[in-house]
Amino acid sequence: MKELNIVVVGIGGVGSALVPKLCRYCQHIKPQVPVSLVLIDGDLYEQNNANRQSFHRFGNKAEVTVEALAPQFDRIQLSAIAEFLKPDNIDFIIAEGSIVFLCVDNNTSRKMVDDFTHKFKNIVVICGGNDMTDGNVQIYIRRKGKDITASLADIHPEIASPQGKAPYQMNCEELAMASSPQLFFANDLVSALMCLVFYQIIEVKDFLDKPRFGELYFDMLLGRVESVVRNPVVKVAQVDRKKCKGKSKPAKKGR
Amino acid sequence: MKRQGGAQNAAPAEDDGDTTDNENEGGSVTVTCGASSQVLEVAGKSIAYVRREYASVFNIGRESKAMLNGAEENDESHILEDGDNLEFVKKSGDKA
Repeated sequence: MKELNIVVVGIGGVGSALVPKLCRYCQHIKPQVPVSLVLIDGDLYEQNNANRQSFHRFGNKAEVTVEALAPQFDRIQLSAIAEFLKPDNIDFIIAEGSIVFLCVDNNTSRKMVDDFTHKFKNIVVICGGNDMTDGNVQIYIRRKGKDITASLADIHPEIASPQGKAPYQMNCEELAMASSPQLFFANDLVSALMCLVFYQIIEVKDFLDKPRFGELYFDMLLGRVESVVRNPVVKVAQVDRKKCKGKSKPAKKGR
Repeated sequence: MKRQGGAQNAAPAEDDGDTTDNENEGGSVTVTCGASSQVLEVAGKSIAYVRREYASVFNIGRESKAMLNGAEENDESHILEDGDNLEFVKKSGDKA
């Protein structure tokens, strides 16, 4: 590993819980490699964020977070982009070889990143989200031009065909109404599971080529975390099973 | 050879494949939806049967995609076999 180029999209409840963890880990990573951590968010810290997010002043979330963390983590090249991710700027932010933490609250943005990252030879997208007491983290890995896991949209039709707007498409009134009640503990669990994935990428040999899972689900009320394999989707015509009746069945895929 | 539910027996037109023939397969299927996962004795039953009968137990959404042994399975009348892994894909968390 020669360097780490990390992008965190969205510094809301999940992103703001995630970034300090990433910083603390990367500050002490061994062997030492250059670490670039780019935070991107067009939203502002406001008083009503205080129940889930930690900030020392009002202002743009990405800028305020970098301002707070940069003095503590001098080995990391921290930078902030005070804009929402959108088709106009995604080219400048997500590059070949990046590890992208997608901490956004809308499927339009998720689809935008999912579609954009298909073109890279090597990329990792770690996408997390939650509802009140449950949530998930999905991993999309491309290596040497091939999908190692299924993409976000291949598994989740709500991402493949998103309803609603991305933040960059909303006016101020729509943005103000977009937030909804959340539980900080659920945000924090998503961030912890994203860190679990990141640790596997950095420390577990061959995880990027042979991941043991492609998605993690948690449910706080059940007290469970479940991992699921996400094989890359082979896009061929469906075999008509009636026409195959009487012929030998294909080999069963294990988990 | 995989069987279509109700193909051999006289069955009502609405049969969704939850009847088994006399060669009762039996056996266990791991059924998962989100963080919920259980091993159920539903080999010989159809995917539609499991979706209907266990919708509330697993909180299976009506639109939840079925994945059988890691691959998408659109045929709800598909009969499950011993050792199968059936997942009803839970939606991604909406918030962050």
